[in-house]
Amino acid sequence: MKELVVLLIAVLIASFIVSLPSFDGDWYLYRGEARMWELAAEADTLRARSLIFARAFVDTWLARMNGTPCEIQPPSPNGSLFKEELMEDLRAKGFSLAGSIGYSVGESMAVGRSDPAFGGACRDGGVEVSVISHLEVRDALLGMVAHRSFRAKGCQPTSYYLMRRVLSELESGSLSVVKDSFSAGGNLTESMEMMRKGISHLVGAIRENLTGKGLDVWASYSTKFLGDRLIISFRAVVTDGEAVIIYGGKERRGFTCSRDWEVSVELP
Amino acid sequence: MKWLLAVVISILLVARFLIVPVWIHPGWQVRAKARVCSEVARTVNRLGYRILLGQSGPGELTSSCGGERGIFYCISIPGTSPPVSLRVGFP
Repeated sequence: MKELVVLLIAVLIASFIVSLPSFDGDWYLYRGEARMWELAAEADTLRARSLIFARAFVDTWLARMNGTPCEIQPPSPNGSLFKEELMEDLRAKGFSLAGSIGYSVGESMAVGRSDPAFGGACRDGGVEVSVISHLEVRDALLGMVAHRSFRAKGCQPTSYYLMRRVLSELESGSLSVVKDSFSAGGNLTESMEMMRKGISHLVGAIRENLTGKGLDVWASYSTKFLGDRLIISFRAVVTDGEAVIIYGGKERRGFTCSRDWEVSVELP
Repeated sequence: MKWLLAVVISILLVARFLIVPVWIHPGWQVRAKARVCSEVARTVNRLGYRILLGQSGPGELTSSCGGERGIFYCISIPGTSPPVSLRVGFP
Protein backbone atom coordinates (compact mmCIF):
# COMPACT_ATOMS: atom_id res chain seq x y z
CA MET A 1 0.00 0.00 0.00
CA LYS A 2 2.81 2.38 0.99
CA GLU A 3 4.65 1.65 -2.26
CA LEU A 4 1.50 2.37 -4.21
CA VAL A 5 1.04 5.77 -2.54
CA VAL A 6 4.69 6.70 -3.18
CA LEU A 7 4.31 5.62 -6.79
CA LEU A 8 1.15 7.73 -7.14
CA ILE A 9 2.93 10.78 -5.73
CA ALA A 10 5.87 10.18 -8.05
CA VAL A 11 3.53 9.94 -11.05
CA LEU A 12 1.74 13.14 -10.00
CA ILE A 13 5.00 15.06 -9.55
CA ALA A 14 6.25 13.80 -12.89
CA SER A 15 3.03 14.75 -14.69
CA PHE A 16 3.09 18.18 -13.00
CA ILE A 17 6.63 18.86 -14.19
CA VAL A 18 6.03 17.49 -17.69
CA SER A 19 2.81 19.45 -18.17
CA LEU A 20 4.38 22.77 -17.15
CA PRO A 21 4.17 25.02 -20.20
CA SER A 22 7.54 26.21 -21.40
CA PHE A 23 7.67 29.72 -20.06
CA ASP A 24 10.50 30.75 -22.40
CA GLY A 25 8.62 29.54 -25.45
CA ASP A 26 5.50 31.38 -24.43
CA TRP A 27 7.43 34.50 -23.68
CA TYR A 28 8.90 34.62 -27.19
CA LEU A 29 5.48 33.91 -28.64
CA TYR A 30 3.92 36.71 -26.65
CA ARG A 31 6.80 39.03 -27.42
CA GLY A 32 6.42 38.22 -31.11
CA GLU A 33 2.72 38.94 -31.01
CA ALA A 34 3.27 42.25 -29.22
CA ARG A 35 5.88 43.21 -31.82
CA MET A 36 3.46 42.26 -34.56
CA TRP A 37 0.91 44.73 -33.20
CA GLU A 38 3.54 47.43 -32.92
CA LEU A 39 4.67 46.76 -36.49
CA ALA A 40 1.07 46.92 -37.71
CA ALA A 41 0.51 50.25 -35.93
CA GLU A 42 3.64 51.70 -37.56
CA ALA A 43 2.74 50.42 -41.02
CA ASP A 44 -0.97 51.28 -40.89
CA THR A 45 -0.23 54.92 -40.06
CA LEU A 46 2.33 55.50 -42.86
CA ARG A 47 -0.28 56.91 -45.23
CA ALA A 48 -1.77 59.36 -42.72
CA ARG A 49 1.67 60.38 -41.47
CA SER A 50 2.97 61.03 -45.00
CA LEU A 51 -0.02 63.35 -45.58
CA ILE A 52 0.36 65.13 -42.24
CA PHE A 53 4.04 65.64 -43.14
CA ALA A 54 3.02 67.14 -46.50
CA ARG A 55 0.40 69.41 -44.91
CA ALA A 56 2.87 70.66 -42.31
CA PHE A 57 5.45 71.32 -45.04
CA VAL A 58 3.13 73.19 -47.43
CA ASP A 59 1.46 75.21 -44.67
CA THR A 60 4.77 76.24 -43.13
CA TRP A 61 5.99 77.36 -46.56
CA LEU A 62 2.76 79.28 -47.22
CA ALA A 63 2.95 80.98 -43.82
CA ARG A 64 6.39 82.26 -44.82
CA MET A 65 5.07 83.43 -48.20
CA ASN A 66 2.14 85.39 -46.72
CA GLY A 67 2.48 89.07 -47.65
CA THR A 68 5.25 88.47 -50.21
CA PRO A 69 5.07 89.03 -54.03
CA CYS A 70 4.21 85.30 -54.47
CA GLU A 71 6.62 84.86 -57.37
CA ILE A 72 8.04 81.52 -56.20
CA GLN A 73 6.75 78.15 -57.34
CA PRO A 74 5.66 76.06 -54.32
CA PRO A 75 8.33 73.44 -53.52
CA SER A 76 7.58 69.72 -53.09
CA PRO A 77 7.81 68.14 -49.66
CA ASN A 78 11.03 66.17 -49.31
CA GLY A 79 10.35 62.43 -49.29
CA SER A 80 13.89 61.69 -48.11
CA LEU A 81 13.38 63.94 -45.11
CA PHE A 82 10.15 62.10 -44.25
CA LYS A 83 11.99 58.77 -44.43
CA GLU A 84 14.92 60.08 -42.44
CA GLU A 85 12.77 61.38 -39.58
CA LEU A 86 10.65 58.23 -39.57
CA MET A 87 13.72 56.00 -39.60
CA GLU A 88 15.16 57.77 -36.60
CA ASP A 89 12.04 56.98 -34.59
CA LEU A 90 11.74 53.40 -35.91
CA ARG A 91 15.39 52.66 -35.18
CA ALA A 92 14.82 53.56 -31.54
CA LYS A 93 11.96 51.04 -31.49
CA GLY A 94 14.05 48.27 -33.08
CA PHE A 95 12.47 48.51 -36.53
CA SER A 96 13.91 49.53 -39.87
CA LEU A 97 12.40 51.23 -42.89
CA ALA A 98 12.94 50.53 -46.58
CA GLY A 99 11.34 51.60 -49.84
CA SER A 100 10.57 54.90 -51.45
CA ILE A 101 8.25 57.85 -51.06
CA GLY A 102 7.84 60.72 -53.51
CA TYR A 103 5.86 63.94 -53.42
CA SER A 104 4.81 66.29 -56.21
CA VAL A 105 3.14 69.67 -56.02
CA GLY A 106 0.83 71.23 -58.58
CA GLU A 107 -2.20 73.43 -59.07
CA SER A 108 -5.52 72.13 -57.81
CA MET A 109 -8.92 72.45 -59.45
CA ALA A 110 -12.22 73.00 -57.69
CA VAL A 111 -13.16 69.42 -58.43
CA GLY A 112 -11.88 66.37 -56.57
CA ARG A 113 -11.57 65.50 -52.97
CA SER A 114 -8.75 66.15 -50.58
CA ASP A 115 -7.68 63.20 -48.43
CA PRO A 116 -9.18 63.57 -44.92
CA ALA A 117 -5.76 63.01 -43.34
CA PHE A 118 -4.42 66.04 -45.25
CA GLY A 119 -7.54 68.10 -44.62
CA GLY A 120 -8.31 71.19 -46.63
CA ALA A 121 -10.45 71.46 -49.74
CA CYS A 122 -9.84 71.53 -53.47
CA ARG A 123 -10.18 75.04 -54.92
CA ASP A 124 -9.30 76.61 -58.25
CA GLY A 125 -5.65 77.63 -58.21
CA GLY A 126 -4.93 75.99 -54.87
CA VAL A 127 -1.91 73.87 -53.96
CA GLU A 128 -2.30 70.16 -54.61
CA VAL A 129 0.12 67.62 -53.15
CA SER A 130 0.34 64.06 -54.45
CA VAL A 131 2.22 61.27 -52.75
CA ILE A 132 3.23 57.89 -54.13
CA SER A 133 4.81 55.47 -51.73
CA HIS A 134 6.08 51.90 -51.48
CA LEU A 135 7.39 51.47 -47.98
CA GLU A 136 8.08 48.54 -45.72
CA VAL A 137 8.70 48.43 -42.01
CA ARG A 138 10.88 45.53 -40.89
CA ASP A 139 11.56 43.79 -37.64
CA ALA A 140 14.84 42.08 -38.40
CA LEU A 141 14.98 40.22 -35.09
CA LEU A 142 11.70 38.38 -35.58
CA GLY A 143 11.78 38.42 -39.37
CA MET A 144 8.52 40.31 -39.78
CA VAL A 145 7.89 42.73 -42.65
CA ALA A 146 4.88 45.00 -43.27
CA HIS A 147 4.54 46.37 -46.84
CA ARG A 148 2.37 49.35 -47.57
CA SER A 149 1.92 50.89 -51.03
CA PHE A 150 -0.36 53.84 -51.52
CA ARG A 151 -1.18 56.92 -53.58
CA ALA A 152 -2.90 59.89 -52.01
CA LYS A 153 -3.77 63.47 -52.86
CA GLY A 154 -4.34 66.47 -50.64
CA CYS A 155 -5.48 70.01 -51.48
CA GLN A 156 -4.24 72.97 -49.48
CA PRO A 157 -7.14 75.46 -49.35
CA THR A 158 -5.12 78.54 -50.32
CA SER A 159 -5.46 79.73 -53.92
CA TYR A 160 -1.75 80.49 -54.16
CA TYR A 161 -1.38 79.62 -57.85
CA LEU A 162 -4.41 81.73 -58.79
CA MET A 163 -3.17 84.70 -56.77
CA ARG A 164 0.24 84.37 -58.37
CA ARG A 165 -1.36 84.30 -61.83
CA VAL A 166 -3.57 87.31 -61.06
CA LEU A 167 -0.54 89.37 -60.04
CA SER A 168 1.36 88.32 -63.16
CA GLU A 169 -1.65 89.26 -65.32
CA LEU A 170 -1.83 92.64 -63.61
CA GLU A 171 1.89 93.19 -64.08
CA SER A 172 1.91 92.29 -67.77
CA GLY A 173 -1.45 94.02 -68.34
CA SER A 174 -0.19 97.25 -66.77
CA LEU A 175 2.82 97.22 -69.10
CA SER A 176 0.51 96.96 -72.11
CA VAL A 177 -1.79 99.68 -70.79
CA VAL A 178 1.13 102.07 -70.22
CA LYS A 179 2.59 101.27 -73.62
CA ASP A 180 -0.76 101.82 -75.38
CA SER A 181 -1.51 105.00 -73.43
CA PHE A 182 1.79 106.70 -74.16
CA SER A 183 2.06 105.63 -77.77
CA ALA A 184 -1.39 106.94 -78.72
CA GLY A 185 0.08 110.33 -79.56
CA GLY A 186 -1.80 112.50 -77.06
CA ASN A 187 -0.27 114.97 -74.65
CA LEU A 188 0.87 113.93 -71.17
CA THR A 189 -2.47 114.72 -69.48
CA GLU A 190 -4.39 112.75 -72.08
CA SER A 191 -1.97 109.83 -71.85
CA MET A 192 -2.21 109.80 -68.04
CA GLU A 193 -6.00 109.82 -68.21
CA MET A 194 -5.97 107.02 -70.77
CA MET A 195 -3.65 105.02 -68.52
CA ARG A 196 -5.92 105.59 -65.48
CA LYS A 197 -8.92 104.30 -67.39
CA GLY A 198 -6.93 101.38 -68.78
CA ILE A 199 -5.71 100.27 -65.36
CA SER A 200 -9.19 100.68 -63.89
CA HIS A 201 -10.62 98.55 -66.71
CA LEU A 202 -7.89 95.91 -66.25
CA VAL A 203 -8.52 95.61 -62.51
CA GLY A 204 -12.28 95.51 -63.10
CA ALA A 205 -11.96 92.71 -65.65
CA ILE A 206 -9.74 90.65 -63.33
CA ARG A 207 -12.15 91.21 -60.42
CA GLU A 208 -15.02 90.00 -62.59
CA ASN A 209 -13.12 86.80 -63.45
CA LEU A 210 -12.54 86.17 -59.77
CA THR A 211 -16.21 86.41 -58.79
CA GLY A 212 -17.15 83.55 -56.49
CA LYS A 213 -13.56 82.42 -56.00
CA GLY A 214 -13.04 84.12 -52.65
CA LEU A 215 -10.32 86.45 -53.92
CA ASP A 216 -10.15 90.22 -53.94
CA VAL A 217 -7.78 92.47 -55.90
CA TRP A 218 -6.66 95.94 -55.18
CA ALA A 219 -4.20 97.97 -57.29
CA SER A 220 -2.79 101.47 -57.19
CA TYR A 221 -0.04 103.46 -58.82
CA SER A 222 1.91 106.64 -58.35
CA THR A 223 3.98 108.66 -60.79
CA LYS A 224 7.15 110.67 -60.55
CA PHE A 225 9.38 112.42 -63.04
CA LEU A 226 13.03 111.54 -63.25
CA GLY A 227 14.67 113.81 -65.81
CA ASP A 228 12.97 113.16 -69.11
CA ARG A 229 11.45 109.95 -67.86
CA LEU A 230 8.16 109.24 -66.16
CA ILE A 231 8.36 106.49 -63.55
CA ILE A 232 5.08 104.78 -62.76
CA SER A 233 5.20 102.69 -59.56
CA PHE A 234 2.50 100.06 -59.28
CA ARG A 235 1.38 98.19 -56.22
CA ALA A 236 -1.14 95.32 -56.33
CA VAL A 237 -2.53 93.28 -53.48
CA VAL A 238 -4.52 90.07 -53.83
CA THR A 239 -6.24 88.64 -50.77
CA ASP A 240 -7.77 85.21 -50.31
CA GLY A 241 -10.35 85.34 -47.55
CA GLU A 242 -11.02 81.60 -47.73
CA ALA A 243 -7.40 80.57 -47.25
CA VAL A 244 -6.61 78.44 -44.20
CA ILE A 245 -3.07 77.83 -43.02
CA ILE A 246 -1.99 75.73 -40.05
CA TYR A 247 1.01 77.30 -38.43
CA GLY A 248 2.31 77.20 -34.87
CA GLY A 249 -0.47 74.80 -33.84
CA LYS A 250 -3.21 77.21 -34.90
CA GLU A 251 -5.46 77.65 -37.90
CA ARG A 252 -4.90 81.04 -39.50
CA ARG A 253 -7.40 82.39 -42.00
CA GLY A 254 -6.60 84.66 -44.94
CA PHE A 255 -3.64 84.99 -47.26
CA THR A 256 -2.21 88.01 -49.03
CA CYS A 257 0.13 88.45 -51.95
CA SER A 258 1.53 91.91 -52.50
CA ARG A 259 3.66 92.91 -55.48
CA ASP A 260 5.36 96.19 -56.48
CA TRP A 261 6.77 97.01 -59.88
CA GLU A 262 7.77 100.04 -61.90
CA VAL A 263 7.31 101.07 -65.50
CA SER A 264 9.48 103.71 -67.04
CA VAL A 265 8.24 105.89 -69.91
CA GLU A 266 10.51 108.08 -71.98
CA LEU A 267 8.81 111.42 -72.49
CA PRO A 268 9.08 113.20 -75.86
CA MET B 1 1.42 10.20 7.53
CA LYS B 2 -1.89 9.72 5.71
CA TRP B 3 -2.83 13.36 6.33
CA LEU B 4 0.53 14.55 5.08
CA LEU B 5 0.17 12.52 1.93
CA ALA B 6 -3.35 13.82 1.43
CA VAL B 7 -2.21 17.45 1.76
CA VAL B 8 0.75 16.97 -0.63
CA ILE B 9 -1.42 15.26 -3.23
CA SER B 10 -4.11 17.96 -2.90
CA ILE B 11 -1.56 20.75 -3.32
CA LEU B 12 -0.11 19.11 -6.39
CA LEU B 13 -3.54 18.63 -7.90
CA VAL B 14 -4.71 22.19 -7.24
CA ALA B 15 -1.40 23.99 -7.92
CA ARG B 16 -1.48 23.42 -11.66
CA PHE B 17 -4.82 25.28 -11.84
CA LEU B 18 -3.79 28.03 -9.42
CA ILE B 19 -0.61 28.69 -11.32
CA VAL B 20 -2.43 29.28 -14.60
CA PRO B 21 -3.13 33.04 -14.01
CA VAL B 22 0.63 33.58 -13.72
CA TRP B 23 1.08 32.14 -17.23
CA ILE B 24 -1.87 34.07 -18.49
CA HIS B 25 -0.22 37.30 -17.43
CA PRO B 26 2.01 37.82 -20.54
CA GLY B 27 -1.02 37.04 -22.65
CA TRP B 28 -2.97 39.72 -20.85
CA GLN B 29 -0.11 42.12 -21.48
CA VAL B 30 -0.16 41.30 -25.18
CA ARG B 31 -3.90 41.88 -25.37
CA ALA B 32 -3.44 45.25 -23.68
CA LYS B 33 -0.59 46.04 -26.06
CA ALA B 34 -2.71 45.07 -29.06
CA ARG B 35 -5.41 47.38 -27.79
CA VAL B 36 -3.14 50.41 -27.43
CA CYS B 37 -1.45 49.76 -30.79
CA SER B 38 -4.80 49.56 -32.58
CA GLU B 39 -6.05 52.63 -30.74
CA VAL B 40 -3.00 54.74 -31.58
CA ALA B 41 -3.18 53.70 -35.27
CA ARG B 42 -6.90 54.42 -35.42
CA THR B 43 -6.40 57.81 -33.74
CA VAL B 44 -3.60 58.91 -36.11
CA ASN B 45 -5.65 57.86 -39.15
CA ARG B 46 -8.81 59.51 -37.88
CA LEU B 47 -7.28 62.78 -36.69
CA GLY B 48 -4.82 63.23 -39.58
CA TYR B 49 -3.81 66.89 -39.98
CA ARG B 50 -5.77 67.81 -36.80
CA ILE B 51 -2.77 66.51 -34.83
CA LEU B 52 -0.99 69.66 -36.07
CA LEU B 53 -3.70 71.65 -34.27
CA GLY B 54 -2.96 69.90 -30.99
CA GLN B 55 -5.82 67.39 -31.08
CA SER B 56 -4.98 64.00 -29.62
CA GLY B 57 -8.26 62.06 -29.24
CA PRO B 58 -7.94 59.42 -26.52
CA GLY B 59 -4.15 59.77 -26.47
CA GLU B 60 -1.78 62.52 -25.53
CA LEU B 61 0.73 64.49 -27.52
CA THR B 62 4.34 64.31 -26.41
CA SER B 63 7.57 65.66 -27.79
CA SER B 64 9.20 62.22 -28.09
CA CYS B 65 8.45 58.52 -27.73
CA GLY B 66 10.00 56.42 -24.98
CA GLY B 67 10.96 56.95 -21.39
CA GLU B 68 7.54 56.12 -19.94
CA ARG B 69 6.69 52.94 -18.07
CA GLY B 70 3.67 50.74 -18.49
CA ILE B 71 1.70 49.47 -21.44
CA PHE B 72 1.53 52.14 -24.13
CA TYR B 73 2.44 52.80 -27.71
CA CYS B 74 3.71 55.96 -29.26
CA ILE B 75 3.73 57.05 -32.92
CA SER B 76 5.91 59.93 -34.03
CA ILE B 77 4.72 62.41 -36.66
CA PRO B 78 7.56 63.38 -39.02
CA GLY B 79 7.81 66.96 -40.20
CA THR B 80 6.44 68.59 -37.08
CA SER B 81 8.32 71.41 -35.45
CA PRO B 82 8.62 71.12 -32.48
CA PRO B 83 8.46 67.31 -32.78
CA VAL B 84 5.09 65.76 -32.02
CA SER B 85 4.29 62.15 -31.10
CA LEU B 86 0.95 60.63 -30.22
CA ARG B 87 0.99 58.32 -27.22
CA VAL B 88 -1.84 56.02 -26.16
CA GLY B 89 -1.54 54.14 -22.87
CA PHE B 90 -3.51 51.34 -21.29
CA PRO B 91 -5.84 52.83 -18.72
